[in-house]
Amino acid sequence: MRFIRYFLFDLKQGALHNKALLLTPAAIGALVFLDFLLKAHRYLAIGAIEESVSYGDYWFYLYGGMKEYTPGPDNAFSFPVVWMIVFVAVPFALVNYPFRDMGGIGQQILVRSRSRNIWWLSKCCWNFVGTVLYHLLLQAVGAALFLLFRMDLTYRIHMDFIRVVYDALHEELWERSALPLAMLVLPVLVSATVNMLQMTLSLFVRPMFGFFAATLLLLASAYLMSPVLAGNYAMAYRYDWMLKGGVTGRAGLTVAAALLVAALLLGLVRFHFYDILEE
Amino acid sequence: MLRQMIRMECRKAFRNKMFYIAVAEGCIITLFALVYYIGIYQNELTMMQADDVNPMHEASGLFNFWIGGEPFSFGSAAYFFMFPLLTAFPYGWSYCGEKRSGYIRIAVVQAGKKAYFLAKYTAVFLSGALAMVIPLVFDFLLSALFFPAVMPSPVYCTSTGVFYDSLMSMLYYTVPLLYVLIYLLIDFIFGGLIACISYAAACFVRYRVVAVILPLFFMLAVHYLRQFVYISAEVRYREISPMFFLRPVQAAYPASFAVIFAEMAALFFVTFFLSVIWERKHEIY
Repeated sequence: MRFIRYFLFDLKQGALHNKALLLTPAAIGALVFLDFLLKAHRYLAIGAIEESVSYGDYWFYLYGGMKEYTPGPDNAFSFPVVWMIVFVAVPFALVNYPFRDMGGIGQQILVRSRSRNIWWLSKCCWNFVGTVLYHLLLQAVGAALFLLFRMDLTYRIHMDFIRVVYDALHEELWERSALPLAMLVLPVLVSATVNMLQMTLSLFVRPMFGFFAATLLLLASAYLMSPVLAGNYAMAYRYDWMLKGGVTGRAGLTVAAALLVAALLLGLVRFHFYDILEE
Repeated sequence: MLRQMIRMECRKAFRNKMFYIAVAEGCIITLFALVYYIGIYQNELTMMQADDVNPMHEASGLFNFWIGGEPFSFGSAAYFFMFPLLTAFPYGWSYCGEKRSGYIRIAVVQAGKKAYFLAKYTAVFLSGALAMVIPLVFDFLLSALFFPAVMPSPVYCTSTGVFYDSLMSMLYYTVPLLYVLIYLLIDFIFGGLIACISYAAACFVRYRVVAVILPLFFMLAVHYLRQFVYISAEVRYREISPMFFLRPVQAAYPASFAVIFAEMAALFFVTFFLSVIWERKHEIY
């Protein structure tokens, strides 16, 4: 009961009253939509794609990431800017609240609750729900704009568009026509894992260094296609569903869930000894 | 009083843990690039010894094996992505902290608003500039221990990454050390100005962590602008993203002094106006 009360409080203060969490996905969603729309029109005009794009393509544009990078003098690394913005904005929107809540009234609540575990678990749930909310808003803004422009609001994808955007070779991708619903979950789960890792790490070092580490992890994932780097499971382009020899969704679920639980437990132990007065 | 204040702010900026941590983090990232290149270089040496072929000495030297001379190792990718954070870490957060703690009131009473804000701007600028450049200098000097400083040749421009239309390409192939020094100077100024974004952001935000992270988002936003600007495959555009043009090697489009100076001026005027002129007119009590 106490946990639910705390969680609802966190949800209200840290998510519903968090302007960054609500406005950032709206702004990013609108900007990426504009970019996506202009690109699609351009490709259509020059004949690079055969028919107009659908919502599935927009989703893929948001969460696609980048193709596997092969280092070489004639191939400079260019990070996937849309994907980086989408995934780095969440830790930014969520970085401050738990630590802000350790001072002032939050500190009083924490002291009077007499249970650090409940406080931490409530923050973990808030973090997860906040991440889901962010991604829902991001996609909802896109869907609303699709409706506004009377575009095809289905999860159909166009391989010719994907090939042009990701500069993919014909033989390295499977031929697909629609996004499976199960696939929509994994990027959000990985995003929640990264945020949880950041929050836990911020108990050991300052929150800004926690953010630094989370960003570095995402960049490393973009640079190196490896099943060890969790960010790879947040790139739809690198799933074996799309890319031949890509990372598997099952492994992604396992890695993300394991890291999520590990971060939660590690944070639980660390927070038990955390000096809240120093904050 | 202004000089005294600047000296005091600089002392606070350079003698704090965050400055050392930021520099250390930058240096560690550069080590990734160095280790990667030592492997490549040793491989090349082994191949040269095994085969009686053109050794292509000019294609693998210090000037294209240090972190600024190559655009494809993880160290290089990470450094030139994370630098907005590395420059803001040392002292970009200080104004936020001093506003919240009330220190600003005491400082302004003692030194005056003008001296305080100018000194703060100078200290934030210098700390960011040094946090940007020290790891690069560290990597260049360390790389010099492993790779020969061979004069690069335009014949191997695909290996050096500096092409005929790259910024200062003539200088690169004639006086490469001067080329590196000029780039370090550009990075020094930009590093300082990017750190000042967090100082300017501190005029509006209450939390240090937010002020420190904002320069990264600003840089990402500028980088994202490329998607709207570079729309034709035929046009040879000029690089507008600092994440690319601050590299002494061409990562995508060639850099140009016009863009660099224009962005420098814009950054300076906006950050200086917000943090020194605009903020000075606000009540601090």
